[in-house]
Order: sequence, then C-alpha cells, then structure tokens
Amino acid sequence: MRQALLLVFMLLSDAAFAGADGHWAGTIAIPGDETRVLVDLERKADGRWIGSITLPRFNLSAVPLTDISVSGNHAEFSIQNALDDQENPARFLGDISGNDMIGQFLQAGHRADFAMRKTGSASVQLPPQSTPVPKALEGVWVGEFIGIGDYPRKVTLTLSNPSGSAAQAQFVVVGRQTTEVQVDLVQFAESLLLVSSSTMGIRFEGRYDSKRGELSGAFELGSYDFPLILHAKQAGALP
Amino acid sequence: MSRYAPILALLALSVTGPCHAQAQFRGDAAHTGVFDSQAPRQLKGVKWAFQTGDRIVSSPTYAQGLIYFGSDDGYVYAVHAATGKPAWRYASGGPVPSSPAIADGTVFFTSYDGKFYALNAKTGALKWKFQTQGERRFEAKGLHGHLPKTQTYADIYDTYLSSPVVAENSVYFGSGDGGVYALDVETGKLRWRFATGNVVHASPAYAGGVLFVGSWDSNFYAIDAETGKEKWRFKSGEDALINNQVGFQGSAAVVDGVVYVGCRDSHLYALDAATGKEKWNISTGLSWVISSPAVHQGKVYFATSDTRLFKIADAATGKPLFESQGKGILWSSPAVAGSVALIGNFNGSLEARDHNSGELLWEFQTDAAKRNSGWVLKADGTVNQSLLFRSTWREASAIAEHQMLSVGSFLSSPLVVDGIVYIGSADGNLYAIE
Repeated sequence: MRQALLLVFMLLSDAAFAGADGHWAGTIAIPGDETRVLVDLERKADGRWIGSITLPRFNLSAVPLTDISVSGNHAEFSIQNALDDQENPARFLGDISGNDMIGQFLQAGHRADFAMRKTGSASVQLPPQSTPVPKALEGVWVGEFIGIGDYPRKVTLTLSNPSGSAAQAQFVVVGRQTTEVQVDLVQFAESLLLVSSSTMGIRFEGRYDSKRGELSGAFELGSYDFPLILHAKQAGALP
Repeated sequence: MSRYAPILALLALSVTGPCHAQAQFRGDAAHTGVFDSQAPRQLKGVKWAFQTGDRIVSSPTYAQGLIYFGSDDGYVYAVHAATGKPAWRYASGGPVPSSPAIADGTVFFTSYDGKFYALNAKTGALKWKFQTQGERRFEAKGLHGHLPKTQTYADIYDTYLSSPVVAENSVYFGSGDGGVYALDVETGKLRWRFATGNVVHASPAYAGGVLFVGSWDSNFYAIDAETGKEKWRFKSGEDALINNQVGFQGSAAVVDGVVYVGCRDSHLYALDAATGKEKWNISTGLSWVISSPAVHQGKVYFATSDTRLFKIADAATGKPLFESQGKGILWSSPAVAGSVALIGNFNGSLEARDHNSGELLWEFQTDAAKRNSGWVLKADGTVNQSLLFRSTWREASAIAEHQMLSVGSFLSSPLVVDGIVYIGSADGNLYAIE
C-alpha cells in the first residue's frame, strides 16, 4: 500500500512536471499596456529546468530564465539580467491547470496578471557557453583605450582555464574609477577571443596574433567601439 | 535745463531696458531664475489647470495679470493668472517649446516653423513676424550610439527652442540655423545675425550690454548686444565618437560678473563675464547639465540629467553645499522664490525645497504620474528605465522617450507670481499650484 502511494505520488509529480514543460504563449496585463509573452520551459533528464522567454514589446528575444522552480502545479521563474536590477529580477509566479498557466508578473515593485496557454513542446534557446582558451592565452593581458570623454582607460584582462572546459576571465578597467567587469562569457574560436558581460553590456573582441603576442580588437560598450590592443604581460605564466 | 533735455528724457523713456520681474524666461534678462514672490512652503493643491492640445515644454512668463506660454500644439496662450481662463491664443506653424518674452505690450516668441513672432500682449494680434534660415534639431551620425552608426539622427533630446530676451530696443534669440539674432522690437527688422557653428537652442542671457549664449558647436559666446560682434568665446568639451557629450542646451545665468552655465559635456561652468576665463567647474560624471542654473544669495542651484541630482553649490568657489537625488531625469530649471527652491522632474512631480538646507517641503504629482500607465515609473516613483529603454535600433529611443513623458513630465521650469507656482507639464496642462 505504501509503495502504491509512493508510485501515485511520483506519477502525479511527473504529471506536474510535464504540465510545466512546453511552449507557452499569452499576455501580461500591464495597466495600459497589455504585453505579449512567449515562454519555453523544459525539464532536463537530470531533473533541472531550463527556459527562455521572448517579450517583443521590450525587445527581449529568447532571454534565459533563471531561478526556475516547479512544485506541484505552481511554477516560478525569473528573467536573467533584463527588465530590472540584479537584486530584484523580473519574476513570474504561475499556477498551471491543464494547458493554462495564470499568475502574476512582478517588475520594479509592480504586479500584473498574466495568462498563457501551452501551444506546443518546448524549444528552449540556450545562451552561448564559454569555451576553453589556448594555453598561450592564459595569463595577464594589459592595454589602454581612449573612451567617452577623451581620456585613457587602462585594461587588465586575466584569462584562465580552471575547469578545462570553460575559460574564466577577470576584466578590470581603470579610468577615473575602477570597474570590475562581471564576465559571463569567454569564447575562443579561429584565433578570435570574445570576453563578454551581458549584465554590463561590455565586450572585448580581439584577434590573437601569436607572433606579436597581442590581442588586437575593440572594447565595446553598448554600441560604442573603442580600438584596444592587449599585450601579454604574463601570458602563459599561469600554472 | 538744456533745450535737449525733454527730447533726451523722451528718448530715455522710449528705450526698452532689459525687462524684469517675470516677463521673460528665467525671470529676468540675466536669467537668474529668482522670483520676488514667496513660493508656498506648504502644498495646498491645484488652484487651476489649463489644458492644451499637446505637451507643454515652454516655461510660463507673466505680465499684467496674464500668464504666457507656448505648447507643442503650436499655439501661444495668454491665460488669466487669477482664474486660468483663456484671454487669447495664437496659432504658429509649429510647436512652441520656448518661453515668450513680454515687453512694452508685445509678446515675442520662437516657433518650430522657423519664424519669430511679435504679438499684441493684450489681444494676441500679430504685430510682425520674422523668418529665420529655418529651424532644426541638432543632428549627428550615430548620435548617442543609435544604430546604424553611419546614419544621421536628429536628436530626440533636443527638446527646447531658444527663448527670446528683450533689451536695448532689441529682441535677441538663437535658432536651429546656428544664428543668434537681434531684431528691432518695433519693426522686426534684422539688426544683426551672429553665426555659430551649430544649433543654438539656449536662450541668450543679457547683462551689461553683452549677450551670453552657448551653441551646439561646443562654444559659449559673449556677444556685444549693440554690434553683434564677438567679445570672447569659451570652448567646452567635444565627443567626436557619438556626439553625446557636446553642446550647450541650457541657458546661462549672469550674476555679479560671473556666467554660470551647464553643458552637455557634463560640467557646470563658472566663467568670468568680462573675459570668458573659467573660474571653476563642477564635473557631473558623464551626466548632461541641461537645466539652467539659478543664482541666489551666493548660491548656485542646478540639476543633472541622468544622474538626477539637484545640487546647491557656493557661487564663488563651486564648493558643494547640498545634493539630493531625484526620482527622474532633471531638465527643468530650478526657480528660487523667497525661501523655496522649486524644480520639476521627468517623473511628473514638482519638488519644493528649502533654499538653504535643501530639505524637501512638498511634492506635487500629476494625475498621469499617479495612474502610471504602462509602468513608466517603478513602484518607488523612479523612472522604470530598464522597461522603457530596451533598444537603440529604429525609433525605440524616441518611443521610450514619448512613453516616459506620458506621466506628465515637467520639462518646463516654474514661474512664481503672488505666491502661486505656474508650470507646464507634458500632460498638456499648465498648472497653477498654491
């Protein structure tokens, strides 16, 4: 009997998970501005949930969801690095009934009702993943660029491969103040290095020249481009 | 008595001196932003509101019981200060985001139709009009980082037109054609035109026979009011990359031989009025200073744009005395009326602060701001920028700006007469607040 109950519970749980899994389309009833929303939620084989959201009204397309939790018929998820500050992300709190999910959308201290209907299977668009960088790029790189206001900024970029599968970077810009760039993506392919912070809208994209020992490219801040050449200070020096 | 004395006396009477009190932008010809009347230290409420057909960016002026202002609906209005009832309105051919000046029974104003108008102040009848070389906004390739970078964009934040100033029988104003004009007040005949290198939408300040005005060419000019000849120029910062940090959009205040002016290069400058030499500056950290400063009892009152700071500094040294962060972008220019400093806010609120301590005395909020349609404001009343400004592609920035104004933003600057505060709002109302 006890085992039977457990089996029923597991089946119900699976049904709930299956209930959240899918492609959802609907609207958020922001007062005076009803907004179309598309959400993809998918439960991976290991039990993790992944998701992405598209909000055309706010120019957001396939933005990753974070802090996804599904419990019974209740689902919650946040939008990664969009529509609010990091401490207070925009969040959905929804209840699922069959193919319908209704609930509330929280943003900037406001609450608005949302309603979505499942229209198909999930098609989550994953954000790009970091790759390892060549051994020769591991270490400290330094350079300088002239940015807005026509004064120089000193850049220090430290690259490492701690896990072997995804590189990490420390990226510090010193002008009139010191900015530690919160890097969330490091990619290297065909001699091109990309270091990016989606939260701060900052990127460095540079081509590696092994003969000259430099990364030649641009520091990008939003749509601003500033030429930047980084020279190896301690390249390859890390263990 | 000389036989010429009566003629000289008559001439003296007929010469138009700088008009004072509340009859032109920023209260007087020197644009001090100071009003004789005491503003209320406690908010009673709205005495009346006068609705126009579009947003009001124009700062109201006052003469002989009437409030004069322009609206983006293309009209200039005269409204009875006591009741809010209309006296007359005059249709120009374009929006009027500038302040009328009134002198000797004539109302002068600029319009986006590129014409300069003189009307009878009592009736609104046209006296004369003058055609400039045409009005336009500041523009540049890839302006403010808009995409694509190779495209030329008109600046959606070039919001104001130059407000005229009247002195020495002339009326002076700037134009999008890059000129500063001097016209005869009676006939509208051109006396001189001073050419700068770009748009002039700041209002010239007048003091001691000299006009002081900045241009989007990054220079601030002192011009002889009689001859139109340059006396000196002061070079401010430039931004060759995206033209974001360049140009004088706000107007100067001139007090005791010092010119105080904010710039889009993110500085407030204090310049020697005789030489143009910089006395001090305050850097605002990449935040425009569009608001025109007020100067009162040795203090400068000014505001920063995106960093939303209302600041009071020592006029002699630039030393900071007070700073408060507002909830919205600050473009409205502060007004000092008795012991109260007033400033409008992009979030649809008007703040009244003690002129010495900076302490908040009261805050007026438009109904549109209270409704907050589309969550333009966060729950805490600050502008919901992360929701509004999501793109620099196509017209996204302009749409976001338009949405932001929907809460009844105050881009207009307060006028204070007989204890009543008058100010225009982007909700199209001119408010009389007591």
